[in-house]
Amino acid sequence: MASSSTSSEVFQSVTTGQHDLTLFQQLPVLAIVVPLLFAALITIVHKRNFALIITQTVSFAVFIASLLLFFELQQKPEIIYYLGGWKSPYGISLHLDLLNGFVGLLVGLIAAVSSTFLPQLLQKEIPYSKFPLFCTAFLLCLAGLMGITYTGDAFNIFVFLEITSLSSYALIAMGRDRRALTASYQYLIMGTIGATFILIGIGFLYAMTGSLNIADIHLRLADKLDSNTVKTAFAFITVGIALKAAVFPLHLWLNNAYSFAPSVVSAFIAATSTKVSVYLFFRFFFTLFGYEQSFGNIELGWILIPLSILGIFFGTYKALYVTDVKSLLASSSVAQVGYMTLGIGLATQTSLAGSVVHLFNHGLMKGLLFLSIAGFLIHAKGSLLTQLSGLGKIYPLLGVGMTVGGLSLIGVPLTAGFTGKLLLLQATINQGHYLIVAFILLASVGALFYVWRFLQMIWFGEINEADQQAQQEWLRQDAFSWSGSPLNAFALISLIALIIANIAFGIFTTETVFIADQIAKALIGAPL
Amino acid sequence: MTWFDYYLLLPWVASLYCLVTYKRPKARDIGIITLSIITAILALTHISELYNGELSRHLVTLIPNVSLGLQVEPIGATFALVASGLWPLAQLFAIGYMRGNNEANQSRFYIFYTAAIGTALLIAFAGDLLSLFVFYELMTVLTFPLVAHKGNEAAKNGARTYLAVLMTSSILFFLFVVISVWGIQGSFAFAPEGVLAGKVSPLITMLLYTACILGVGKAALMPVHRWLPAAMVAPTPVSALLHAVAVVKAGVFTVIKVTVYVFGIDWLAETGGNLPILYLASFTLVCASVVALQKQNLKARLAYSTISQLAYVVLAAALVSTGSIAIALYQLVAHAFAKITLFFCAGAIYTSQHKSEIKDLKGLGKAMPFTFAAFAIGAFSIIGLPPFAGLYTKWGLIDLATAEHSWLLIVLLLSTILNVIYLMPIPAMAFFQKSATAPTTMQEAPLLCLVPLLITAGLTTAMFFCAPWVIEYLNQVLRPA
Repeated sequence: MASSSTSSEVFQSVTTGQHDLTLFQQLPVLAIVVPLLFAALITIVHKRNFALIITQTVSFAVFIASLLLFFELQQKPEIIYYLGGWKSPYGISLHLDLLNGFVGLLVGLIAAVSSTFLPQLLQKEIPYSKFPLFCTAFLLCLAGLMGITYTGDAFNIFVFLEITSLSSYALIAMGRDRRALTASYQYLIMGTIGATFILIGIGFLYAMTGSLNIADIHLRLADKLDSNTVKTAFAFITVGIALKAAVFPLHLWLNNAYSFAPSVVSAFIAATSTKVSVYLFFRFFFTLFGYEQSFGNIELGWILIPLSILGIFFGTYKALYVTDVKSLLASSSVAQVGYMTLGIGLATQTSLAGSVVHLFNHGLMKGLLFLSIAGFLIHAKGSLLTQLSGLGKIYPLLGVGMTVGGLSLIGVPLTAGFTGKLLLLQATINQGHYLIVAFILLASVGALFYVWRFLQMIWFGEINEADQQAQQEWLRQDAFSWSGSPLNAFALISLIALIIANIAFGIFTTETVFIADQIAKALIGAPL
Repeated sequence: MTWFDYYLLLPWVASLYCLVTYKRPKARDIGIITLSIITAILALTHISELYNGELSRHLVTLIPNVSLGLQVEPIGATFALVASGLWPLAQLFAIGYMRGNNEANQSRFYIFYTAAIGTALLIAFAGDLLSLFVFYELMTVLTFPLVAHKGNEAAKNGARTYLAVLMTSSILFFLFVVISVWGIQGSFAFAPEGVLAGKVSPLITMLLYTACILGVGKAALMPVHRWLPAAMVAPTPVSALLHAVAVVKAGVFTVIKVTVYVFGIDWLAETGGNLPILYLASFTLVCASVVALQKQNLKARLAYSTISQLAYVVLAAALVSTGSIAIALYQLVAHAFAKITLFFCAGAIYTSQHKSEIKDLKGLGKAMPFTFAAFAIGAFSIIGLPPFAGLYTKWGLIDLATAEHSWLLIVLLLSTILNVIYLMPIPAMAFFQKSATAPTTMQEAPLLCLVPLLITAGLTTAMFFCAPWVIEYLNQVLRPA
């Protein structure tokens, strides 16, 4: 600031001067603050039904907010919300563009859909007394994820990352199996290392630039890109996010965390948490460091592509032999994250678009698969393949959910999973990497076999006596017997919505691909 | 909506109709028969429109510049005519068989049966390579419940092999070629003279062509033929559908189509990229016949006979000239008629006598004279005797072989001898051997089974008389203008 200016001039120059924002303009911050506040309220009130209703309402509110913001972003390139009215490099800002609007929409959608399954969880997996605390953790996790997604501030990312992580450690530890505790502990150690790495990286960047705002750091880095500090920061941040995103070989925490968590938590975390971490890759590599730095000077592709391929290979391979369905899906997540990072590693417009599309669609299919399993688990003893034997015949709708999700996971044409893979394949052959094409196809065959493993079990397996009795017992008690599945009306509607979404996003792809293409263009061409 | 849209939609309508009439068998059966007859009539009354190749449809856009679509051309038109023309007969037979044997879950069966026919039409008209692949996979998935229909351990194992072999081969090899072609020419489009000419080296052409034909597992070239005998666990109408109308024909049709429209017959002839497949097809042709000899189960023997007969189509296609493509197409049609007759007979014998082993057929000629007469006609046609359809295939192949690959004459001769040895004993045993247990009175299968097989036997004979004209016509429409 010029030394001659008065303090009020300084104040005016660093504030927006807007005090009369409409509710709509407050949406970005509301999507984060509302779940945060209500999480606290639930702990204070500590009533089961109150907790349930608040959690569901808030999740849907966040979903609607993210949807409105996403539509708003179709009209204008970016929405910037200055917290407290302080202008960008001085205060903290939320910075929305098409990319994080899209990811935010996924988080909101999955949160809303998962929250409809909470009553089932209450019946089966969580003791009544702990349910309000569970809901608190759930909302905190949601607030954290929305925060990571929407914020334009690098340090804020770390803060929200910690909120998300701490609440998800608690959520995972509430699994009914005692192994959930060790799984959560394992995740805690790895997650803390990851978060610390990210913090160190951000610290270095702050030391170099004196700024924490992502767009601002990008501008200030322009003449410092060759410095070793910046390169070290790059390395720390890459490894830190890779840990959070479960990129091979830093994926070891993921399997147990997904397998032993309560089933709704598995659905919520599997469909959002790794996706948000992959989003952070985009944000840091392209917006903060810039395409030139990440793929020109540092040549990130050389490390990211081989690791992605190894991830795809080991994820698929493991999914072929594990005996627990949730563990199988977790392993397949490692493989699917591999596809997304492969798209980032190739770093062309098509591959990035493919990566973005796959990120969104994979959220949809993993959400569907884990929620279907959550439905099965209301009556089934456990999620071992043999324990799900024949359940598709008893609960056909859940079986259809597993089938559609599974087909989408393989990447069968006209399901959601196909579009992203097709774009990735296009990007790969455009660069002439035929070996990678062959590899992706091999992995698809692998996916075919592991999906076949559970589909065969649920459709053609022998029906378990106990399962049959459990269903009949329940049919006697419950009014919603027409569906043949032990879900309430809301959960059924959201399950059907996810099934339709998994097919619709495979057939009507023009819109998603267009948006992804816009995003990719923005990432490569003109950073914020 | 023109007649073409209705034509494409009718099988799917039939499928939905079965879903609606799930619990009303009478309404269901009358409905699908009617729909199948309308479909056949629509196709037969619009032959000229199908062959002039101006119909096309855009279905969905997957990503920018990549979409699924339909484009009618002569090769596809021929396949579609076979599929939709034989559908009413196969449907009549299926109803007779399923009722005669009191099979369970008949409605579910017809839902997928009709859907498979609908998919066959989509495959026939697939407008580009990706559409062809997508519909090809759709066929695999939709026929899976048919193969597993009985639901016992054997059916499940067979169906698993069916799915595993077809899916693995198609994704690993066929899809790889599809994507490579995409990379090479930048689109999935077909072109009348092929799209690869001059863009890749002869070695790559050879590798891609070999991978592609092996990837099209439905053509059952050895060593990817394992699924076909495995699929024999299905009820016989499915075997008839699989082996004569839809699945294997979709396979060899795909082979012909990619040979012409992707690789290009001139380019293949110029680079010699067809040679590995030519040898492999010859090998399969003889080898499958030898295996067929050792099979004592009627359907298993017919299955290996199918593998051998499909190799004729692939062989003809791999000889890469306009004339050979016409012969390949002709064999596709001729074999469809003959083989569907044979499978209908096998089904009729099972329905009426519950016999499926060849040794049990002794002396049954008295009880089922019409069925075994039809069987003999089908067998004669496969062997290549006049006056039956199969003769012209062998004739045409001999004609083509003499020019360049004279060794093929030996292959053809050997295969014909083997055909005689493994097929002729069956009607001969039935008519001329005596058996104490065989019934002496007429015990034909129900009319719904008997009539279709007599019609197809008639068609096999009729085809002989119009064969020169058909081949001439095919030659004409295939020659690029």
